[in-house]
Amino acid sequence: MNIQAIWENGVFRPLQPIAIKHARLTIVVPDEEIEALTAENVPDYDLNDFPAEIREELAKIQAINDAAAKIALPAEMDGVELDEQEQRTRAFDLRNALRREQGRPV
Amino acid sequence: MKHLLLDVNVVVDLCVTRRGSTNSRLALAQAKKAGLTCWCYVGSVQTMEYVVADELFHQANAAGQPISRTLSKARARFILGQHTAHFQWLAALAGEADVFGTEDPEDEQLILALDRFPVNTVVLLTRDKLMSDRAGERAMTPEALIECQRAQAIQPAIDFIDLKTQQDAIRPELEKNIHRVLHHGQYIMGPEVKQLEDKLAAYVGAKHCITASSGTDTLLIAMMALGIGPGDEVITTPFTFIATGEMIALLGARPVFVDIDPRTYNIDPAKIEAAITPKTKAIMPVSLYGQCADMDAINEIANRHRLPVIEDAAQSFGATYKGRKSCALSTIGSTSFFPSKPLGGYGDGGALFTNDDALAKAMRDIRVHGQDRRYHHPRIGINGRLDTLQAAIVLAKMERFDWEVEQRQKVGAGYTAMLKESCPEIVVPFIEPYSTSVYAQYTIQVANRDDVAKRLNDSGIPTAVHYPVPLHQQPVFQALGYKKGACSIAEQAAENVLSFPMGPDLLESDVKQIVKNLNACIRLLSQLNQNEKSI
Repeated sequence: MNIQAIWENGVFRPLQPIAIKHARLTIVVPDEEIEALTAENVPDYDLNDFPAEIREELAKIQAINDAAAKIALPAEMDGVELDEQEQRTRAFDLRNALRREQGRPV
Repeated sequence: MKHLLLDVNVVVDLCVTRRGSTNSRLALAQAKKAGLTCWCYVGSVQTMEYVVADELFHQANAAGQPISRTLSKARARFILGQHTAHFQWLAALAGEADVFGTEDPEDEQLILALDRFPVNTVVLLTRDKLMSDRAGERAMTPEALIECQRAQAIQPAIDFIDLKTQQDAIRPELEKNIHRVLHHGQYIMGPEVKQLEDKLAAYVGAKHCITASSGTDTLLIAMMALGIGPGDEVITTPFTFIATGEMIALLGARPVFVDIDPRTYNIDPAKIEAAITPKTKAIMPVSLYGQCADMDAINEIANRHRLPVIEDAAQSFGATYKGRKSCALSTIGSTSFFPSKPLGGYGDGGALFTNDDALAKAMRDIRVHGQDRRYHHPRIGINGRLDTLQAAIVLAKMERFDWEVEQRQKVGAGYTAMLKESCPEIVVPFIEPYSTSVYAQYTIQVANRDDVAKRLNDSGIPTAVHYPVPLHQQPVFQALGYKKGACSIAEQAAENVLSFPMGPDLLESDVKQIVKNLNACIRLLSQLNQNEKSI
């Protein structure tokens, strides 16, 4: 279901009473909304203005990232997160949330 | 600007596509081309991992292809491992831990780390305005860096000797070795000294290696062990660094200078015998610029006169002569770990090599105040030990040394081939067919040497002269009575020799640039000369 929520000091608050089964869940925020939060006007460059070797370097960077998308884990390892790891994830979530709240990139 | 310290957000930009990431990638691609060194802070590793994983996790979910947290972390580790493989890791130091009282400990650590770089050589690359404000002028956004690099193409400078790239390549081993010494605390004659001596002896193929405080002290120790003193004479070359003659004189002996072979710049064996007198106590050839002298010929003369031979191999560690390693070619071999030497430390150091047990013992004793056991001194010695820290550093450098020797030879051959083709009037180094050189220096002979050197230096090519005044013409040796022309070949070489940037990490493109600039310089000087004549 879709619910309405407000973003307040780094926390989402539902605008209607709701009971959720688990403490953690995924909220999908449209990319354009996140863009507004950074409040930064980042100029775009025309890559054709740069030498070919620079463009090749950019392609190499992207190729590494694309290769990562093909990595899979064995079923018995996938999704298994120790309490300590989960705690660390939450700690970094807090770091990221605080930074976003301050309008900073993570 | 030579270094970029990367804030976490810039590293994350490399790893995930998001608003602004293209600019970070563009700035880093330009920086790579310009030869800037990119540094990541070791203390930021976990933050990088979790932030990249978090971004990948959310992006996958937003794209309707949800993945688990564990998979996002596995992918993050892969990406980070690949992207940071070409970066340098800046160790987190104890002094950067006391940040809990600051507004943002994560930012503060990076800002403190900036202080380790020389002034105006480093920029903190960040997309974070708050971080930029904190770091002040030392921070730059990717966009500012892009514009800066577009406006003034940053060209990597050519160093005369590039120790920086070598350090980048061995940093993990180097830091581990140094920290190990800091922790065990045996700063004098610690275990690294023995490890190094064993390794060097095996490398050279000598029975004994005795490390010492410098490549000058090694000469002194060697001559003291041979009992050289006042009234004695030691035959050597005049075309060398002062230390060779200086140590002979320091012992009260007289250096007897024998002229050099014009092709190799090393002592000419054919002229040695005429210089031998009843007072002669040793022959000390120098393996100049990284190539050994004709040691068989010298040893043969020495054997006939029952004289020991000390090879001053300060510049030739790693070179070979008829298949044998420099330092293992005569009674005693002596080398230097001065930082610019083929195998250099981060300070002074040196080593002696011999197959003679009695000489080895004498040299070991002399190195420690003439002591054969604690507080028992049967002879006069010096304070001549190698610091454990220096031994630890040289050990780290040994890991890469074989590769470096090979590279030096490739660079030397590359110079020679290019110079022969484009500047035939230049005298290039001559390497005997039975020798290999480690090219401690790549040294040519050129007319109008000082003018050429000045113009090259002005065009960003550093040069040096090894050596402008032969020892027999040095003021300190005037009393020896050598007249002008006494060693005429050395005197002529001293007027014309010029050394170029050299090292295992010198790029082929750098060599091409140097040769191109030299060629232009010679043509210009020749033209100016013609003009002067016609006026």
